[in-house]
Amino acid sequence: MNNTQILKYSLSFHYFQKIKKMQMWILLGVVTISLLIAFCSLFAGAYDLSLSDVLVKDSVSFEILFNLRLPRMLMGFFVGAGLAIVGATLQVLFANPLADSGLIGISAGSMAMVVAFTVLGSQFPLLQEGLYYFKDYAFSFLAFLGGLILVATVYKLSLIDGKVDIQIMLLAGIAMNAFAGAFAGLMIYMASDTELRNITFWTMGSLNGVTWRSFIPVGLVISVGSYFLLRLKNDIYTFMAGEKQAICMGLDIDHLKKKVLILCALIAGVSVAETGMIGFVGLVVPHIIRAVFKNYGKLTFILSFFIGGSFLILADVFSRTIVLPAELPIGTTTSLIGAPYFVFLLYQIKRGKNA
Amino acid sequence: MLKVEGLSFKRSENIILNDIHTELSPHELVALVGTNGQGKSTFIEAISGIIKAEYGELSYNGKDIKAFSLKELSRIRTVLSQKIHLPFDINVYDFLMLGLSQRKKLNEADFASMDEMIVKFELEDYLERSIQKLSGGEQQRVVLAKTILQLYPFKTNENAYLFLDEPLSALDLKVQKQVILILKELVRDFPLSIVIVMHDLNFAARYCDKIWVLADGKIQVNASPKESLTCENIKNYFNIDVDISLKDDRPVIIY
Repeated sequence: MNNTQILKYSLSFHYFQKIKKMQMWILLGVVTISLLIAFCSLFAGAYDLSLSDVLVKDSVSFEILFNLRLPRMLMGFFVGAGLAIVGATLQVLFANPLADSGLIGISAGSMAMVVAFTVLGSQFPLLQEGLYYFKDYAFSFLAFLGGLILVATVYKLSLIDGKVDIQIMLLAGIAMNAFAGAFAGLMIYMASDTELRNITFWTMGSLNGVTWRSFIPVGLVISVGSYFLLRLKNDIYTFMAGEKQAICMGLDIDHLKKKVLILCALIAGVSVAETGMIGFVGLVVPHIIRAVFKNYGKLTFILSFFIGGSFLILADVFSRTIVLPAELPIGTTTSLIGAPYFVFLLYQIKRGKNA
Repeated sequence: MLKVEGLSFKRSENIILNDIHTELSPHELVALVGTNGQGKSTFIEAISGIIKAEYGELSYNGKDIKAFSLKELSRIRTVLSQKIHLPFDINVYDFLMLGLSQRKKLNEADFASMDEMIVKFELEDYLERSIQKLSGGEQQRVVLAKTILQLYPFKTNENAYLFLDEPLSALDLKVQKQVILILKELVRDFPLSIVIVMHDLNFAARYCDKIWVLADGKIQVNASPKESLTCENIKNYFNIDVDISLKDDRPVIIY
């Protein structure tokens, strides 16, 4: 048989083509819906705004749309997308469907670092001046550093015989989360009333007050970080059959893990620095994808990006319209949706184990 | 040819493997047997280079294992671990594709290999089923097919090595026989050597070319089934009294 004949009768090639086609349609559908959600979200909020208002260049509507809602929508999209792709990656890397940037300490580390420098900044005028100068960038960098330190610690603690032990990793994550939380608490104890209020709102997560100036570095870091994570998707996906199998397949797993953890800390770190603690996006979105698109494969990573982004845009629309004219912190909204879903997930696992 | 000289492995001061010397030739199907906790899994992970062990010489086809890149090594040897961890709900087709996931671009030959594995392990009707919902035996067949697919098609000029850690334990008798016959066929037709960890001595005696008995950190016996599975050896290394009769010049152990 020659090659074309083989392909004609090849069962696996037939499947390959079928799946490729299906994946293309799914991706196209998801991207279209994401764009639609992004566009529509621009017209939701306290100020009633219609497309015609903007088109006649009514200055107030134009200003609100382009300088308030557009950067806010983009920030929501990129932060959601980043957190979701980090969640999807960590779940496969740690072979644990419950992993996300919160669980293994990235978020807590970033939070502790930002809180510490917010409070200490006011104690040391020189530091404050320095921080103020690089305001938007300094906090992002500090958050990345804090997240990286914690995730590296968790990773080192969970190594046994050179392999990550999942149980120890989860326990180390809990310990590091508690430690970072206590450290942040200590800092908050030293904080002034204004700082306290700022920190509290920030930790609940908010997209309020996003400007182009604050969005651009975050958007840049998250898109570059996600691009590199997506480039590694084939290698990350190989972890699906377990770490030992990944070694057998010829992967330099230590090198890969380091690269992936740094990228994840970078994405989650800048997200936390700008928008605070937005929980459950990284955990829930990959699970929704797995539940909805049964046959997900490597497509999960890119789908997580778009669906995570849309999810956060929707959560933000909900946050800013449900208690008009006030606003719910977006972290509260995502946890409000995420926590019950998490419980549902645990229930499903329990049922699966009983069956 | 795989050559092992003076292989030792310690885990926190416990000596698991102690100065092991052995060889594995092309077209050999070897059963690695021994009581629980003798380090059978550690041994195959050490000789395949998955875990770092001390050794005088460890060479594949005359080339030191350190001289191979990870990618090169992944095309000539692979290991099927005893515990299969399947945390995600992935379908059988996608799981099989993992076996090819490190190939650059899939070509006709890759799909043809995949077809062959699907037919060999009778997985035609399983492709769209979720791997988590299969029975233990079905899962084992899928995982085995994926593992072999990593090396398939075998190179003609270089011997390949397949290390299987208790691949038969979850299978019923019929599938056990089916799988071992597939393995025998592969060993016969291709430049390939297989080491298979198992507990059923009769099964090992019936189908394997050689038996390695691992005890006290050493390969104590390395010979054909008839020579290795004697009443005396089984008493020494498995600590049970048995009767042995012969069928087709291979031992049948009665216990």
